[in-house]
Amino acid sequence: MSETGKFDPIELRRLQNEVREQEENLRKLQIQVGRLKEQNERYFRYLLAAYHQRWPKLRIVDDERP
Amino acid sequence: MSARDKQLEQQFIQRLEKALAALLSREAQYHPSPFLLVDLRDGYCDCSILFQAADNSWQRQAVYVKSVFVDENPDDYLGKFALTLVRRSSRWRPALRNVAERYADGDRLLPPVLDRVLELPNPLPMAQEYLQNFISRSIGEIDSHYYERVVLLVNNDQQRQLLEELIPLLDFGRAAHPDAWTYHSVLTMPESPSIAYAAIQPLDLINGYQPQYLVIGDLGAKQYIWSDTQFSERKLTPTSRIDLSDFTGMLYVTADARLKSNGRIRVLNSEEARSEATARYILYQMYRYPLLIEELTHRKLELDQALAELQREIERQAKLHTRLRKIINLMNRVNLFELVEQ
Repeated sequence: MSETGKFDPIELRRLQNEVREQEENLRKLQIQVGRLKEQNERYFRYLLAAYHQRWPKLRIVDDERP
Repeated sequence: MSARDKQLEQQFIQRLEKALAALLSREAQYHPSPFLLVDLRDGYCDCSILFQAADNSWQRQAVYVKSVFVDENPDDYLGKFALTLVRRSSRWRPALRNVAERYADGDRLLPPVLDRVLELPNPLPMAQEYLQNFISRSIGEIDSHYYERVVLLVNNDQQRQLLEELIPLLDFGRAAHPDAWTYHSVLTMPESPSIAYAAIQPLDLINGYQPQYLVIGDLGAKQYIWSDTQFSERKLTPTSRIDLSDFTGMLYVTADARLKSNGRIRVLNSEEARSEATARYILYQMYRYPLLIEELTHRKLELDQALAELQREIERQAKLHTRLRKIINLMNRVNLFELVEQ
């Protein structure tokens, strides 16, 4: 709010623009986070698959049931 | 009928046929298989195009035969005369209907709709349905933060009553903001409320979040776009579209020019409408200013927090990404070492 509390259309406009800009930034960041998470999950799945391939016995021992 | 009248009638029908054919041909560029509706309930020749939208819903869009006759050629005596005849004499209606049917050729003709539009004695049920669709499709989608700044200015008590009945049925988060909607009955337009309804169309917005008025009259719609200190004007053609989901200003429905002679209403010309729109917009903002500022500040804080949280999440994910890459590289080196051993 303007310091005097009086109607200040320029201040109002500035705030509205800032909020819109932030909402847009938020949307972009959400997309960025989504992409990163997806990429990390892919890497993790790759590592897990490689691990099982490299030490299959360990996996077999783990899976053995009485 | 005198020979002169017969000659005029013939010329009128030819002109009308040409106009309707041109309308259909023009609309066919925008919508596949449009239907032409001619609405004569109030004694005027209101034409609409009924077309199927991409989501398969049927939509109605007003077109203005009048513009074909008069606007393009203001000195056209025959055009004016023809319109006068349509208004004054019911004997023109069958002729019009025949013309409309002839141009809605073959299976493109939709008799039940055409009949309903032509014969329906009371326009309100259709208007109500139309308005409800309009509201749920357009205003209902307004961002929950911005809808509070939308004010509907209606032009008669009936519309006002209708809106007040309809809006509580549609949940726009009114519970959270009980005073979200403000009504102003600024004009009384006792005749043909369908004019306003038909003119309010769900349209694609061109100008993002710019606050704006939509001033609608029977001569066409004009859009007033707020840019910092003044409104700029943009005339909407019948095919213009505005998406009211981005509409942050006010909706202002004015009466049409032919009601000027009616002393009960105040009709604004474009200059007056522009001043009125500016004045009302400023008054409205002044009235709501403290609340708007408070809400915007609050929203800004919320967004700041959300942004900070997202930044932290990005950093976490980036670190995880680096570690995963390191492990993958390590495993690749192990594989290389084993290959060398072999």
